[in-house]
Amino acid sequence: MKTKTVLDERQEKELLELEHRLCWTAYGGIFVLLLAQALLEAGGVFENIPSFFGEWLLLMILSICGVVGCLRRGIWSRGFKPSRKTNIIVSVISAAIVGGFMLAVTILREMDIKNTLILCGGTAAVAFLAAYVLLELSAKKFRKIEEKLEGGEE
Amino acid sequence: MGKNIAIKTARAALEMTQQDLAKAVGVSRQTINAIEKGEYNPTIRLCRAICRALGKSLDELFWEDESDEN
Repeated sequence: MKTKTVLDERQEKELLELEHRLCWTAYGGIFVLLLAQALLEAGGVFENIPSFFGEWLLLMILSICGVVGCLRRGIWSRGFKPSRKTNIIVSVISAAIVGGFMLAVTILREMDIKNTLILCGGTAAVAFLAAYVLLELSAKKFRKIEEKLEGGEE
Repeated sequence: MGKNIAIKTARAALEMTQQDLAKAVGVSRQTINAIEKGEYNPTIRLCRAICRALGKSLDELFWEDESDEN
């Protein structure tokens, strides 16, 4: 299935290579985490750390590596170039996911409607702002890097 | 993979910058730069597009002697 892409063939190849590296790192990382968590649980060490801390840490490391890797190569996304409109859309989607997650948490905890609305609305708003600010800052950095790469020496 | 001087020469003869050639064939300037430096092997489709843009044949722009391939 052919999807629309704004990348040329070399950029596509670079992105595939980056994704390949991240994928194998994720695979190895999960394996290491499983071993580490099993040992830590057996040893009774760090009992107060949430059980998903390791996976969260791995996801954060991979996400940051992915973002930095793409920016350094002058790649934003396969499907579109950075713009205020797409940043708003992506931020709204992020807010919806976070708000939806909090809604599920409040339902499971059987919270009252008022607290549910405050919690879901609040976290969704924070998620929107955080995502939008990060995207705008990244887009600004991306444009600088792209200008430098495209305007480079012949 | 050695540098592709033939593309650079053909481009210069037409007074085209890398940016001009990149625009003509629908890729980024970095890609043209990478091809000329020998850092990237384009697909046959892109090779043909470059040949059309520069008015040269595949052999003239992309033929490599065996010694150049190392």
